[in-house]
Amino acid sequence: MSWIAAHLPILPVLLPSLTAVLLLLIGDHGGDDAAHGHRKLLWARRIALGSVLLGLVIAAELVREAAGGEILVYLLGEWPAPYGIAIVVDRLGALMLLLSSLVALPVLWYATGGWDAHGRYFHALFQFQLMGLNGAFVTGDLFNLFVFFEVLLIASYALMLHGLGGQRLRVGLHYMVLNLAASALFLVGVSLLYAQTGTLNLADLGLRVPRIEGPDAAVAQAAAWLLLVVFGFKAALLPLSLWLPATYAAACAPVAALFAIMTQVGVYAIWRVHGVIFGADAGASAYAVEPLLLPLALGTSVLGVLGALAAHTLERLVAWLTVASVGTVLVALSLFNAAAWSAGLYYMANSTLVIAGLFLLAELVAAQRGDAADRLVPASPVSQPTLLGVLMLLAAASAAGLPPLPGFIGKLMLLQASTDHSWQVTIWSTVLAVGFLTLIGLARAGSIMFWHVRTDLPAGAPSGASPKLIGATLLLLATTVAMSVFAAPIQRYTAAAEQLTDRAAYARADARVRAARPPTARPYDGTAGAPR
Amino acid sequence: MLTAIVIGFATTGFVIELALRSRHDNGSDQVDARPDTQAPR
Repeated sequence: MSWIAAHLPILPVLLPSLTAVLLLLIGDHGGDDAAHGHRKLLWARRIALGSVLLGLVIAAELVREAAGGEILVYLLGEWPAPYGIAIVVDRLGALMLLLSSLVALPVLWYATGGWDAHGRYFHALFQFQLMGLNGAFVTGDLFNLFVFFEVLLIASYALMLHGLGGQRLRVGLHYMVLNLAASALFLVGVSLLYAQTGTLNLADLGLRVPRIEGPDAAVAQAAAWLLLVVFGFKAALLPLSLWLPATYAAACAPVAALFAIMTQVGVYAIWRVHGVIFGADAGASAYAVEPLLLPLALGTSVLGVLGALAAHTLERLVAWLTVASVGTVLVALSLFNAAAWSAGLYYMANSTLVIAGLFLLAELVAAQRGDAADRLVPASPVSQPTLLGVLMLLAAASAAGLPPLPGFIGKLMLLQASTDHSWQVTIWSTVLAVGFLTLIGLARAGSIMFWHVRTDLPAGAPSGASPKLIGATLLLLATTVAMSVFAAPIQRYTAAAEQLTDRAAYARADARVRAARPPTARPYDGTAGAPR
Repeated sequence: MLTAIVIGFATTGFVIELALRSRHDNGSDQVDARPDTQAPR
């Protein structure tokens, strides 16, 4: 057992990647729609579900260890820092790992209800995406963050196109070209930062950025801005959020639900780089992006909710709500204090689960509405109005932040944390108005779909959704209710978010592992440099 | 940086393939919001 314990931090990355390789070796069912009962597909489902379940257990164990306040560091192959790859699991990383497992398990279960048979290699791609997500959450190095970003993006390009069709291909092309541009900017930002500090290790960066002064600090801040563009693009920050609704609405439901956690990778990266490295105590570069981040975050949530009000399909509405919730989380982040960060983490966990659930629910409802599908027009009644209606009500109430659901708790914590901020009035009015408008948008959608039905049309689907699809959606929404029940322990966990700002502890944990090894990283002086 | 170059090549290859497939399936290479239904196939 101690052997497993010693290698625990790397397992969230290793497990999905090995599973993906195994799934590739098993092969594919051939991709035709008649393959539902194919032997290879059945095995792929069992292996993938087992792997994700195991991943959930590992993530839970990591959260348990991280909750004690210890920062777990793992050096791949025991290579010292500048050459080796450091995996660092602290409270934030462990929480994100658990969140991605909690989203992945029901979503994968939902996908085994039929979507995985509509294209090739769904399960292998899903595992590669999980590997990228988990890797981004645990890596302790900015360049490896880039690599894991690419891993998850490449998997997401293929997953986004899963099921094919003209619309997916058209939107997928936007998505991919924009992401390629963002990745190029990421490299430029990383290079600038490396030129100034001589390291890309997040712990080392945390120690060296505060020491940069004078004109060099301006370059470091330029790198921070470039990285904000990149991460803001992933997280759909205001001027860069317009691609998201079209992309997520075009993707099939389980993929869109999984993308809900992919958006949070951007938020996570902003937290790590701008919240901590360029946060308080960063010397000349302290709060480098703070003046613009707060207005942009407020604007993002307003834009998201306006888009949700204007949406003409249910999936687009949910996709716009993703933007709105990211805005709210980024508001919490840009307040730069521990209470707000705790609120933001809590709200982020909840909103990710709710939005993933809403994406699945949107497809369940759409499948029972005949030709109208998910368009918000009066159509034939759904065949399970009570069940789907109650689920919709639950999800809507949590998304809008009605008590006693966790969305409310998260927003309340956020409002409390912003009481002595100079922007308090703006923050309070925006957050409350966004919650109210979210409620209106979802109430409009719900009343059109469940009450404003046309009885002259025949019912859309004679039978209800299969128990598997309902079960997966229910599981996701039940998790959010559980977040409300266990609000106190979760809040205690997120309240320890100030661990993040303790850059010395982060660096010490990293250094303890590479104790007795001389530091070999040096600032780039133009004459010598190690190729990475 | 070698990693980044390799990733860059691979993704560029993929985007070309995707563009070709999109043109084939949609009958045009127009990718903005207006559906271009009149384009010859």
